[in-house]
Amino acid sequence: MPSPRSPLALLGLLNRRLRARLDSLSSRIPDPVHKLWFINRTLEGFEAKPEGLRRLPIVRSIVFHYVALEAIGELVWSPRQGKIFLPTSPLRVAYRLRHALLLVVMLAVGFTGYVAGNYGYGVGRQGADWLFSQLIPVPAVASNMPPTSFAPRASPPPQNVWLVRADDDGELWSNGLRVVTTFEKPGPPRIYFAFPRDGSPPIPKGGAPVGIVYHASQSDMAPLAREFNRNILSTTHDLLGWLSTREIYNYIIDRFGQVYRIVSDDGVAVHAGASIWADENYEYLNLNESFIGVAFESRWDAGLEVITPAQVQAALNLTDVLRSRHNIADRNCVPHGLVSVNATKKLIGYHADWARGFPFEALGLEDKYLLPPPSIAAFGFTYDEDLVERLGGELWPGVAQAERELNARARDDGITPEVLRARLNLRYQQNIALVNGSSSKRKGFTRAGR
Amino acid sequence: MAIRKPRKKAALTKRPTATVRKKASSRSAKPIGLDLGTSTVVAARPNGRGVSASSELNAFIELPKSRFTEQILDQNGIDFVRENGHLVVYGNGAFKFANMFNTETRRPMRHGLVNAGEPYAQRLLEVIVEKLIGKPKTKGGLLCFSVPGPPQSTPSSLVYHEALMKQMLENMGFEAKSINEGLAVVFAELEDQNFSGIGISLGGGLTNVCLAYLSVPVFTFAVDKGGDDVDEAVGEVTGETATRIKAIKEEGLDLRTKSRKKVIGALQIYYEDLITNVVDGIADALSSADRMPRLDKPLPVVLGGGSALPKGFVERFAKALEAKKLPIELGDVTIAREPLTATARGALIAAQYEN
Repeated sequence: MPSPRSPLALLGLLNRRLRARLDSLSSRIPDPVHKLWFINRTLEGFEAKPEGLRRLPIVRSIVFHYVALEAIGELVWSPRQGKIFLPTSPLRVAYRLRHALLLVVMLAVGFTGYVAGNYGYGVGRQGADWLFSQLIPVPAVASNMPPTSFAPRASPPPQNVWLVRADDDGELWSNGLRVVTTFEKPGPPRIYFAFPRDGSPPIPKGGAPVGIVYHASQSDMAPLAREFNRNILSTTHDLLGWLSTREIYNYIIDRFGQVYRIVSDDGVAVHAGASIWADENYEYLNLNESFIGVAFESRWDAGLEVITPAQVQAALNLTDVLRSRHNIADRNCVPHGLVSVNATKKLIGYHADWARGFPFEALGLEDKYLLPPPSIAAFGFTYDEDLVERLGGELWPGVAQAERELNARARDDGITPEVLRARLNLRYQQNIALVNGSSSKRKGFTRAGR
Repeated sequence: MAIRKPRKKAALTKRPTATVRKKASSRSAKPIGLDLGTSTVVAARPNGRGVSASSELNAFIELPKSRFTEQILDQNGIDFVRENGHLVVYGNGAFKFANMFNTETRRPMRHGLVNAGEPYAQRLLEVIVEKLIGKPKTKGGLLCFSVPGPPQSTPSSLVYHEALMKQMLENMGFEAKSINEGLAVVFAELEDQNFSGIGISLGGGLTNVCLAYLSVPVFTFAVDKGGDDVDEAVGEVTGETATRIKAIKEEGLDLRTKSRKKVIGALQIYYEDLITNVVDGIADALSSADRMPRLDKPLPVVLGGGSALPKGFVERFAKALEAKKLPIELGDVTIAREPLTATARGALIAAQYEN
C-alpha cells in the first residue's frame, strides 16, 4: 500500500508549511491515481534524503521543493503523461536544470549561513567578552605584556640535548623539557622539494624537518587568573583534542609552559599551507612538509605580547631540543606571519600571527624581522594596505629591505620592477605546481590548512 | 466440491467454451479493486475514463438436492454448487430464495472476517469472487482487496483473514495487495481534498474508520457493529427474520420521520445505536492518538457502505459528531457518490497506483 512505514513518523518529516505546500501542489493534479502517485513519490523521495538535510530549517524547504520538482517531472514528462495545472514551460526548464538549481541555491544558502555565522560569532563573542568583563573583573596580572618584558637569553644554546626518559605519558629531555605525548599522532611522512637558490634543479628530500614555524593558536581563552583555573584547563584540554583530531601543529605550548606533541616530528602536520621561506642554500614552499609547527596557546594581536614567561621558557627549551635533534639552522626558525602568503593574489602576510612581537632575543634566535622575506625577494610577492593596517601601520624592516633589493635587481637587469615581479611570480607558479603535483600524487589531496 | 455451471453463467464453468473463456480473461487484464464485504462483494474495474462496478451478495443458502430443484434453479439462472448431497445457492440468488422461503441466508464472512463457523466459507468466497472477476489473463494481474481495521474484540484474527484472502487471490493468479476499507473510501471520495479526511465504511459486519492525511493513514479502527447487527437486533425484537428486515430496509428506510410501524421504529432505534457507537469510537481514537498532525483546515468526513443508505442517516451522523467534543475540527459530513461501490473504487485507485 502507499505507505508501509510509520504514518506519524512520515508526516513528522514535513513541517506544517511544507505539508500545506504538498497539499497545494497535489490540488493541481486532476487525476486521482497520479495525485496519489505524486504525494507518495514526494514523501518517499524526501524521506530518502539525508536526515541532516531534512532537519535544517531552510535546507529542508529547498530539498522538499527539489524532490517535488523531480516528482512533477517524472509524472508529466514520462510514459505516465500526467497532467498538472501549472505553467509547464517554466516548469520544464526548472525540471531540466534542477540539479544546477539545487547546487546554486545550496551554495547561496551555505555562503549566507557562513557570512551570518561569522558575523554572529563576532558579535556574540564581543558581547560575551564585555559581559564577562563586567561580571568578573580581570585581575591586573593579566597576560598582556609589552614585548620587551622578556629578558634576552643569557647563555648560548647547549651543544647537545638528549632524551632522558620516555614513558606512556611523555618524554623528559636533558634540558628539563617535559613533552606530553598522550595526544600524539604519527602523521604522514615528510617528503618535500628543496629549491637550490643557485637555480639548480629541485632536490626531493624527506625524513627530518629543516626548520620551525612558530604560531599563535588564536583560540578561545579564559583570563589567566586564579578565579578561572577550571576554565583555563578545560579550554586547553578541548583545544588539544580538536588539534589532535585534525593533526594541526606538531607541538603546542599551553599558558603554563607545558609542551604537548600533537604530531610526531617525522610526520606532517597542518600548520603552514601556503608559505615560503629560504635559508642560505635552499628555498622551501608550503612548509607543512619541511618545517615543524610549534604553536603558543595564545591570541596574538599586533603590538601586544600575549604569551607568558612560562611559555617563553618552554619554547626556548623546545627549540633547543628540536634544533639539536634535527640539526636545524637558526635561519630556519621563523614565525608564521613572516612565511604565510596568499598564493593566488601573490601577497605576503596572509596569516599575520607573530608578524611582529616574536621574542627572538629571549629564545636566543637571530631576529628574522631584519631579513628580507624570500617571498618578495625571490618570488616577487608584495603586500597590501590591509596587512599594514593589521600590523598597526608598520611592517617589519625586512620587507623594505626586500623591496629595495628587488628594485635594485630590476635596475641591473634593465627592466621595471613590475616586469621582474611578473617573472618571479611565474617562477613561483612553476615551483608550486611541482610541489602540489607531488603532494597530490602522494596523498590524494593538497594540504593547505592554516 | 463439484461446481455446476448454471446457464449463461460463464465464471462457474469448469470447462468454459473458448468464447466465454476469452471474455472472462480479458476483463481481468487491468487492475481490479475488490471490496470483500460481509454482505456484498464488489469489484471495480477501469472502463474507459470511468469505472465499472459489479457486485454479488456474499451469502448462500443450502437446499436439499433434487432433480426438480436443480431444474428450477437452471431455468431461473440462479448460481449454485452441489455439496455433500445438497445444493448450495449463492450470491444474489440466495437472497431471492431466502425471501421466497422466509428463511435466513448464511454468510461466508462474519463481522468483516472469514466465518470460522461455516465449513463452505472459503470455497464459496472463491466461487463468488471468481464469478465477479474471472481469472487474470496472465499470472500476476494486480488486485487490491479491502480488509477491515482490527476488530475491537479479536484484533489478531485480522492477520489470519488477510493472509487467507491473499492466498486465495494469489492461487487464482492475481498479485494481491490489501487496503484498509476506510482508507479505500478516502481514496474514492476525498480526491479533491488530496486524500485528507475521515473515511467511514458502514458495512454489514463491521464499521471501518480511517483518518488519512495526504493519503497517509494516521489511524484506522473498526467498530464491531454493522448493518447485519441492526437487522438481527430488529429481527429479534419484532419476530421477523434478519433477511426480511434487510429487505424492508432496502425498500427505502427513512430515519428523518418517526414511524408507527414496529419494524421501522426498531430500525430507527438500532441505527441510532450504531451511529452512537461509531461516533464514540471516533472520539476515543482521536483523543488517544499520540501525535495528530496539526491541520490548517477542517477534515471532511465521508460515509460509504450499504448501511449509510437510509434517508436521514448522514444528518443524524453529523449531528452526533457535532455533539462530541473532538480534539480536531471536522468539516462537512457527506455520503459517497455511490456508497455501495466506494470501497471497491478506492481499492481500484490503490491498484492503479501500485500498477
